[in-house]
Amino acid sequence: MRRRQLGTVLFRASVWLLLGFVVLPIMVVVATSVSATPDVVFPPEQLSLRYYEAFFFEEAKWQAAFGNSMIVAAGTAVLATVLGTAGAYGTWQLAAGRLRNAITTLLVLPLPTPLIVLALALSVYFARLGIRGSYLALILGHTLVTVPFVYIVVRAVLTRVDWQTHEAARDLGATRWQAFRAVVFPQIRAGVVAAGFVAAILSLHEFLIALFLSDFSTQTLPVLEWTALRNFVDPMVSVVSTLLILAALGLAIPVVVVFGVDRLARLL
Amino acid sequence: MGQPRSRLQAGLSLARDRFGNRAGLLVLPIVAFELVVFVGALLYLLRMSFYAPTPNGLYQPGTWTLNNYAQLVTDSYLQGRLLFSLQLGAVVTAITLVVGFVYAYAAWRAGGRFRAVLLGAVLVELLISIVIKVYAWVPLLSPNGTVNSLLVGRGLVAEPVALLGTEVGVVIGLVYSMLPYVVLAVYAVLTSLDWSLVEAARDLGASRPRSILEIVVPQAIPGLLAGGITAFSWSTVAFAAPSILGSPSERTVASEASRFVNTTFDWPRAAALGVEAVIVVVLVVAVTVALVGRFGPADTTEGLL
Repeated sequence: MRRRQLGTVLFRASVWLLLGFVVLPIMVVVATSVSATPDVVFPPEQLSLRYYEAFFFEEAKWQAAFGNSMIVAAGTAVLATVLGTAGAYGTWQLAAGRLRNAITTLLVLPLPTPLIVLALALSVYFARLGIRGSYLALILGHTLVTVPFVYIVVRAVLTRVDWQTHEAARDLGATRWQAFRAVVFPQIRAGVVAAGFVAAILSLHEFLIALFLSDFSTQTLPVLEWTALRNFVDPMVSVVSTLLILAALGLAIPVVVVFGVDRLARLL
Repeated sequence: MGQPRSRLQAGLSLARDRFGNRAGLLVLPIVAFELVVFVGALLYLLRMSFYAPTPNGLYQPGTWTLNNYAQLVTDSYLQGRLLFSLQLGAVVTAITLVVGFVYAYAAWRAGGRFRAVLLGAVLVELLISIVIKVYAWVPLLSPNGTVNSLLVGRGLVAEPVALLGTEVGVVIGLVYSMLPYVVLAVYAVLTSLDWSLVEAARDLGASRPRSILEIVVPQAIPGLLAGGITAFSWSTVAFAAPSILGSPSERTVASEASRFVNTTFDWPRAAALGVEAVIVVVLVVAVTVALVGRFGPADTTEGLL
């Protein structure tokens, strides 16, 4: 009996330790962002918001990167949501068979492909097409890695649609488009919007593809953070990271409201 | 209107047979996108790997050569980097599987709010940029950082341990970034497991560790396999963690490929290295899946590959 209690205590302790392992680095980033000194230490010795001030009012290069990140994330969210939602609805309507299997495989295949390989391939390919370094290249690259998530999320949402309402609308003379517009879409709208938010978060935080496809004038926040880190550890990186984490949390709240933590954990 | 219109309709009705109904045609935009961007880029990378390099950078159009691959095989430095990358991937995967299983099991057994905290933490981590995840470990692992001041302060070690700029640092950073994928993959499988099986084993006298090892772990194998594949295929070609947390001796094939593309502009060699990395990783994964399918519990590899 005592051995069993000891086992339980050890197990609980290791779970708390693991939770600390996951959460502590995130807390370090946030804590070092409010440091008053230029050396990044945890816990910080003195607190101040001077680096936030610098980010919002002084540093032009960080502001330019912020603008680039916004443009790319917005473009990616729109393109990935449109393509992914149409694709999910399309494969849902496809007759079961080899064609549908081939298409669903093609749509999720970018997920297991190593990012460095995608980054390399897109880099030489877009250079050949003459668009490397442009916003278009970044949006296409980010859409490639985020659209499988949109597809998976919307497919999951479609399983919860009450398809009898769709049948009823069709029986009452609605065209397919009318039935979709008036009956199906209201049932999946929240899920589609949530999928778009997921795409926006992933784009905001994507690094490797952005590193390979951007140039000096289009680099996004993670890329500029990377460049800053190569030189020396800079509290500005903590500030930008904290803002990116807050943006992810803010965009994730509606997603969690739609799906719930547990369902989301099984979906992604 | 007549002729073209009816041909269009004939085409549409043919497509309808194939596609179930016309709404199935909605897959066309994304299929076109994947073919042009994804398949197109990968095919071009493959083609690039057969171009002859030129001394002044990039590649010589219209050439076909196997030299880039021959060079990879004979270059002992690059072979060393490949072996190091595979070893790094294996170590990271092994540690992440153990840690991720414990975490997922705890989340599965935990009640409502604590489960939400555990899952919420990995979900948040999943969303965060790899640059941020790696950067967060710098103040923790540096010689005068948090971990070392704890160790020295408690008298556990006499002087600071080298963590930053070593393979230990790289492994910590990679385990940290891979953990959410393993936790979520294992958790997804565990949710469909019936807890009463474990209770039955315990009622029949099995100890707690034994009931977990013999009931829960075998059932979790599909999740461990899926999470393990992700962890291995991503950490083997990791780029950010080795650059920031390691030293030049922790350079992976990804670091070298990036150097060829962005610094020496030797694109054909970068392409060949990329192709080689994909082939090696896919081979390792395929052999693992085949072995687990052969010797593991039944039905664990269904839906993979």
